[in-house]
Amino acid sequence: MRIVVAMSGGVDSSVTAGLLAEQGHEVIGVHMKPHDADPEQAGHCCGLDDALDARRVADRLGVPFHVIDLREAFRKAVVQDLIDTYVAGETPNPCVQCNGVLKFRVLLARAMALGASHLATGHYARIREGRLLLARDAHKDQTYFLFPIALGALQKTLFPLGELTKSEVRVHARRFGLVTAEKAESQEICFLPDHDHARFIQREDGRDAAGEVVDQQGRALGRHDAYYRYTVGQRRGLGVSAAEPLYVHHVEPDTRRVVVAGRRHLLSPGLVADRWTWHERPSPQERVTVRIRHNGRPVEGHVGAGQAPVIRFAEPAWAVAPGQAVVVYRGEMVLGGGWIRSSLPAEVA
Amino acid sequence: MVYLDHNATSPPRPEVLEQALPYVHQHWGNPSSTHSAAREPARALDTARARVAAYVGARPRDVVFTASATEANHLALHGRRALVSAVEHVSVFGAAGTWPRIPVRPSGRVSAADLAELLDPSIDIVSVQAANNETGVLQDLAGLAEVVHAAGRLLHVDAVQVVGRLAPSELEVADLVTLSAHKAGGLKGAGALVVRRGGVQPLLSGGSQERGRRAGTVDVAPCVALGVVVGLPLPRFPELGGLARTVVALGGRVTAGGLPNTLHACFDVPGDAIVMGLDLLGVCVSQGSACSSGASEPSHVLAAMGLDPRSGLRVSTGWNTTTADLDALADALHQVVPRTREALG
Repeated sequence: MRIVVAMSGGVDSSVTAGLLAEQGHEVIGVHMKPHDADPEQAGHCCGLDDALDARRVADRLGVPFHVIDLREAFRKAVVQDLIDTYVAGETPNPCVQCNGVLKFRVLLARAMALGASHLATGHYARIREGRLLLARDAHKDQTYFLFPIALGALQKTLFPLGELTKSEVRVHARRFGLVTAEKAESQEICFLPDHDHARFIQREDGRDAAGEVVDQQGRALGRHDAYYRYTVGQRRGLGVSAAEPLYVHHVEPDTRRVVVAGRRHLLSPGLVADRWTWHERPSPQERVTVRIRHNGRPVEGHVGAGQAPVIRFAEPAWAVAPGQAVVVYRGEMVLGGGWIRSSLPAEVA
Repeated sequence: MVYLDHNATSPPRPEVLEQALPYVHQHWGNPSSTHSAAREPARALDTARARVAAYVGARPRDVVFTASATEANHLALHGRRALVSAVEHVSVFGAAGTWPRIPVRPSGRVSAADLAELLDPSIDIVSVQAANNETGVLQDLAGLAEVVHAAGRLLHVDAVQVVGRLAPSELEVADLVTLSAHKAGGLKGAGALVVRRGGVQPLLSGGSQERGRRAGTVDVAPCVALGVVVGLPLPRFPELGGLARTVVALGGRVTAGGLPNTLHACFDVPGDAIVMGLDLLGVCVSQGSACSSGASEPSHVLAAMGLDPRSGLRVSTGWNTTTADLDALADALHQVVPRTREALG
């Protein structure tokens, strides 16, 4: 098969290319250039050094390699979404946006244009009978970031690392003699090399974002310099002291207030989510597994009806953050995912 | 491999290698030295200088060898307030700062009237290329020179794409001319700035090479190659009409050009997708410039002409291109364009 491999310049996609080439497939390496991150601060995802690493790996494997400039699409689908979501007082998930719009739509189309049957990436997830499944290495599983892939696109997608652990991947990387074998993971938002999203949003949005830190009764406890620095469940950086530890309960963009509360006030019996991608919609009676963040324990729950269904949890979940993704599973199979609009208040339960 | 990207660089011609390579492995002396090891390299450099001067009708002393045409463009504009066209090579933009650019008409050409309007008293020098590297469009240098000289200003012409493509007669109106030869069978590593009038302010100082206008040991071999290339008769480029008909049959539009070796076309899908598809079939063409990561940059040339800056495809032939090469490209286009359109259209 002719397979286009999305090569970020990291170890995972490098090994993906190596394994497929070893299996005798005609591999074409493609690196997408999403942004102009300062090359001096590269070492995060998809900077110039990563493009050069990806090229070195492709050379080592003896496969053709191309760089595709997707800066315009990335700016529109990922960067602007991040700005808009933070300004709206919510917590964006740029990686899901990047996967859903860029990798498994734009890049997949580019792979088809090159006459490939499939696009392969180095994600940790499995595809079986056209459905998306958890990776065998549960610690590395990335299905939370992959739910926007449409079923049709899934049929043209390969995740060769889905059956491997990270350490097995590094063993392969060394075996192939790849320069990326010992490369560190990239975890931060790739286009913000200084990790300071608030400064970036301030520059892009320009409006004053400073305001008060208040408790649930509206009493001022302190001040902050930008409300979009705060996300639900955050404790650090509040600059307030109280008898019990306080966490961000929610953010009010209109008043620029950051509302804090004690830990138990952040428990929620459910959420409302919209903009769903369904691979298979569960009936409201089915008890499903729900992930409201990449890390941490999933919760059990039921998905209601409608375009923006209510998901009710079997037990309250902590710190449901509007703007984040929610992904619904049946066992190890992804049924679908959407975007959290709001958490249900505790008294409704 | 079918190589049709000579406007980026071209394979060295055998007669060039024959004359230039001895200055790598045999006459390796420093041409500026005072001892006998310098004699042969210095003599060869003299000959190359004379040939380059003769090419543009200048004196040998007017020729400054540099390490690249980019450097020559910078040397020409260094310390001067420059007015440059919107379709110049990026190295000219790099040297010229962010002053207003002279726009081009949809034809890709600068109009003398637009130039006259922008030529305010603060401008020291006007820089306009002879031929565009992406589209092959030729500028009316004589007409533009009249405007520039009537205002008492200098005219710099980047003539890199003229070398080995066209007779250099039009270059005689330019006060400063940038040349290189690696896009016409020469070697990378040398450029030249011919300074007929106006002088230059050195970029690199400290050595007396090139009459103090460019410090640094001269790399003799690529300078010899430049001298050889400008002295060779022009190659016979294969006819591009058949390829133009293929482009049109596949739904593309041929951009108006001018260079005999360049065919530029726009399709309704991103040009880089076609370039990649052709590369997989062993056919090398390009979109124009690439950035440091190797991605194609959106073309400022097409944007200046009012065209989609991502839609372009450049085919540029050279001294060794055959009609079979062009047939191979046409076959490959028939495979790649419909498939690309189906996936991305």
